[in-house]
Amino acid sequence: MSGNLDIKTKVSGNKVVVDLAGAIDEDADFSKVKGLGGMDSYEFNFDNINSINSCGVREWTNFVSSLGDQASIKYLHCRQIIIEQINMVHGFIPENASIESFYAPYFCEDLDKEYKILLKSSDVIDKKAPKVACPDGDYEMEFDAIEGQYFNFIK
Amino acid sequence: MPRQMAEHSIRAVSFPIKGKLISVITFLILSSLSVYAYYALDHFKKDKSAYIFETSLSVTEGVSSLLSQDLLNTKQTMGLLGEAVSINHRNSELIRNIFNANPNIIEFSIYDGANRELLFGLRDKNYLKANGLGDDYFLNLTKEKELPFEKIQEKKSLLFNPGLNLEIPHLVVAEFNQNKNQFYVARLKLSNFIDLFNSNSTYETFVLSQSGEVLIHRAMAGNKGKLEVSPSAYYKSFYNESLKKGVKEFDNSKGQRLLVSFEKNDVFDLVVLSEINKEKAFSAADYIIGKSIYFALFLISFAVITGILFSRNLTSHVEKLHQGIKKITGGDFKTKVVVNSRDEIGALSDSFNFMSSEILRYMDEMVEKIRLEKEVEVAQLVQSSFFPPNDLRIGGYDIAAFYSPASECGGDWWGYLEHEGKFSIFIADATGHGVPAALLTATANSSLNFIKEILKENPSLIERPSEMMGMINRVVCSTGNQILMTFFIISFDPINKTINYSNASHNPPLKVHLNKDLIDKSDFVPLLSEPGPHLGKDATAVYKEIKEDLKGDEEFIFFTDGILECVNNNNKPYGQRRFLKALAEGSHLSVFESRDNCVKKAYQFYEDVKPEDDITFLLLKMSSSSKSQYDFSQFKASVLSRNPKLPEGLVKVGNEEADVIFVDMDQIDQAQGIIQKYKEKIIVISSWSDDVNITKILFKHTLSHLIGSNSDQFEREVFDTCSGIKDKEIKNLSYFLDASGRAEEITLTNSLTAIDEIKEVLDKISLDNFFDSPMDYLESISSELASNAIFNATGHESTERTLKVKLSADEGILYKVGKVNNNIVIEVTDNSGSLTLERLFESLNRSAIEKVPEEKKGGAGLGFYMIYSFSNQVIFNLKKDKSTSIICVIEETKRYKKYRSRITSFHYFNDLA
Repeated sequence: MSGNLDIKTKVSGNKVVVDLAGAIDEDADFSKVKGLGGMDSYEFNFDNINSINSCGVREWTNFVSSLGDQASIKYLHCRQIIIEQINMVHGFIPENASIESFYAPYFCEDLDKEYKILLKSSDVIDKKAPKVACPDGDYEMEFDAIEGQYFNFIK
Repeated sequence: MPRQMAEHSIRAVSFPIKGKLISVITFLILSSLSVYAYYALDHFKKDKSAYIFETSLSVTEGVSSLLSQDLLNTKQTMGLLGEAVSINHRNSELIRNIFNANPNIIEFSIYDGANRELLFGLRDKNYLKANGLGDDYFLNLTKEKELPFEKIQEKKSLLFNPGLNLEIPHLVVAEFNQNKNQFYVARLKLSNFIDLFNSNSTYETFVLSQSGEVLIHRAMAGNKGKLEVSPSAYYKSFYNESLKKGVKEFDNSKGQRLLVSFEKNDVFDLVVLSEINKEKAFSAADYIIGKSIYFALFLISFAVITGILFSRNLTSHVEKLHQGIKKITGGDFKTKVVVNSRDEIGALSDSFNFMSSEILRYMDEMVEKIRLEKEVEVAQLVQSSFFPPNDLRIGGYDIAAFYSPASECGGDWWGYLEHEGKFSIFIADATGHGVPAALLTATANSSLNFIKEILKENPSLIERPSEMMGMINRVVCSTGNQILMTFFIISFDPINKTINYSNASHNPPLKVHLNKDLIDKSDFVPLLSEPGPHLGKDATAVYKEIKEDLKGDEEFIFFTDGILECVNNNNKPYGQRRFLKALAEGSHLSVFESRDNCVKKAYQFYEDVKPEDDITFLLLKMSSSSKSQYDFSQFKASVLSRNPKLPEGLVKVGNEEADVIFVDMDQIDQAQGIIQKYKEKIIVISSWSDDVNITKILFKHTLSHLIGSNSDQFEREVFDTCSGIKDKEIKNLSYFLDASGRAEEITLTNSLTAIDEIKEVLDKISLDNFFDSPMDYLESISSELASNAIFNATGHESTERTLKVKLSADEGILYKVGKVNNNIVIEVTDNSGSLTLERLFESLNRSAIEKVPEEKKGGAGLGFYMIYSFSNQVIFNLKKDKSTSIICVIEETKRYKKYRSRITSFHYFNDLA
């Protein structure tokens, strides 16, 4: 409905780093990345994605499956809305893809404030959220989601 | 060990100890030997000089003495001859004998003092003849060279050389006898004196007259008295000397330094000189000095070489140590330094080798320690898998757990089993903590899994905690471990409303009935039973169990002793009194909030003291939705008391006459008949997940109403739903708006611009008191709602969503958003009224099961599913062929967890009969 997905690619050897910004919807055009098909590795940075709708999910799953099952695919800086889709929709993250880093909600009771903390998947052991101190204080924050649900993408 | 040590810079050795030692030793040897050599040689040189000077003077004195003796003898002979001549005249035998007695005299003559005439003459004729001369040789010579009578008379005695180049070189001794007025003249053989001088050839010896004339010199021998070496004028200076004898230095015409000794003879007015080339005189001394210098140099060289060898020997050990240390800093800790010397360096090398071996040993220990730490980490990881999630809901009960081991691994453990609506809670505390205790918890966990398998064949086992206790005890005993374990098992039967529990020396859990507003510490009662022995103590132990009724209003507290016994800075334990107080404070809260409150209070008490025991506790009470089922009459009364407009007919399942029938999710399959008959009247209270609600409740039974059991606005939802059922519609957004609320409203007609228009409206909504990212979800919900409405409104369902769809003003989609009771409410209304419940459920059910987008023209088929998932309440209002309103609600909360854990309520109203 908006068509304002901005895609920036950077090729380094056999690796493509893709920075995504804006909305992933039915107008999302991934031909720029598809044109770089056949690479060994793809890294998608979702840090600046602000929305995704159901048609965008379809566009994405079709696109990412077109990269083939041999390439190594990594998702970086997945925002919460992306994690929701990953947990909700099969194929959003294919078998040959993994999530390198993502944002997770933490709540500081002391400051009565929520923080989005960038975590690495390796930080999450046995689907339990790592302990994180409040960035604006020393208090340990509480992971503010249901661990089993939010970390469902971690196999 | 990976080389991870900090970068260590070793300075370059620019001036090694060896160099320093060599320099010091060389300097000391050089300086000491040089000083010694200088003073020794100087002393030697002075001593030698004195010796040479003295020797020189002795030679001169000797010559002078002999000369004086000869001259005195001659003078005496002359006196005797004079007397003899005066007595015996000229032919006396006596005169001849006296003359012959002195062989030095060649001729003796007497001259008259007045007229200088020869009075007497006597000569050695044989000597003259031997030299080829006649007897008159001296007479003739005297005529040729007149004797210096005036001078003789003046001096009284005179010695002089009558001339050079004479046939017979000789000396003349003349004396004036004043008494007789006669001159006595004797001519003496020069050769005899020269022989005297030749006795010491080292020195050149002269006899000089007062006038500086050389009277006697060795060179005159055989040369007719001709002196080739002419004396220098300096000889005259000796007459000016005040000293009678001495030694002086002169430079001759050849530039040679001469050493000259002298002695004056006052009788004959003579000076005897002995000269020697100083270089020659000192040649022996110089030779010795030279040799001494060479020897000193040799000694210095020897000492320096010895010093270098010594230094090398000494510093080679230090160098070995230095190299050893460099190797160690380079990471080669196996290096050894071999020094065989029995000095401090040798001892230091032993210490060095000991140190390196200790480092190796320490590194091995570190590696072992790291390995053990990693193993403990793995054990911790493994042990963490023994524990269920901290937040649980089982059989209509909420369970909030807390577990914190005192070290990496703990000896506390808890678990649960669930089977056919019944469940059991297990809690255990192994004696001690750490790895050994943790291993025992693994046994307990394995036993639990084993019992889980048994339950498939023997389901009733879950009702017999004592039997399960016995089984676990036998397993624990079979491990042969000396560690014991307290254990408590409680089985819940929510259907028959009973609990059974069995205790193996564990802290009795607590129970409190939450049937009054103010809960006090005294309201907590322990679950007492006859305690059985610790697990692991007796394999044959039999455990008893107690059975009690379950009222439904209880809260159960299971705990190990850690939370009570851990102390603060004053070594004061937290104790049961404080624990109960914290529990009482949280009794009106959910178990999750109450747990967090207990943890907070306990750790505030512990201050900064690290708990020395594992801390584990669980809070369990019936969830609010389940409660509504079990005591719905109370709920009804409560609702009615606050909402007098609430429709009548709130009854339990089974009352077919009721206007509204509430069904608990657990009983839905048993209520098939009623559900089929009264579909629109059925309200399901569910604590299941959204996916289960969609697939197992709504779709399966085509039900229209489901309320999430964890809704904070449960009563209001019930009221509104009941009203809606009665009125066959729920009021639209404006109905929800309270006095302070307001709605933003736009009409969407263009598919390409709709989302931007929606964003503009959404930006006007205050999101204070909401979690961090509601806008993401509001946009997603709005986007899906608007997209579906626009494309479906005029039959464009299959139109590519990338294409532009333009609706007329009449067809326009009404989009509203506003705050209602602090919740954000979005309402999207089309003008078609075509969305049937079946079509909606098909879409939701497919999405919930397949969870993939549809590969077809038009939408992806996930829109409703996303709307459902992201909303706390979804309400559909269908007016057939007129309009479809979809209302989505996101409830006010600052906690994302609460937003996402909210079980979505669903309502579908239509105006069909």
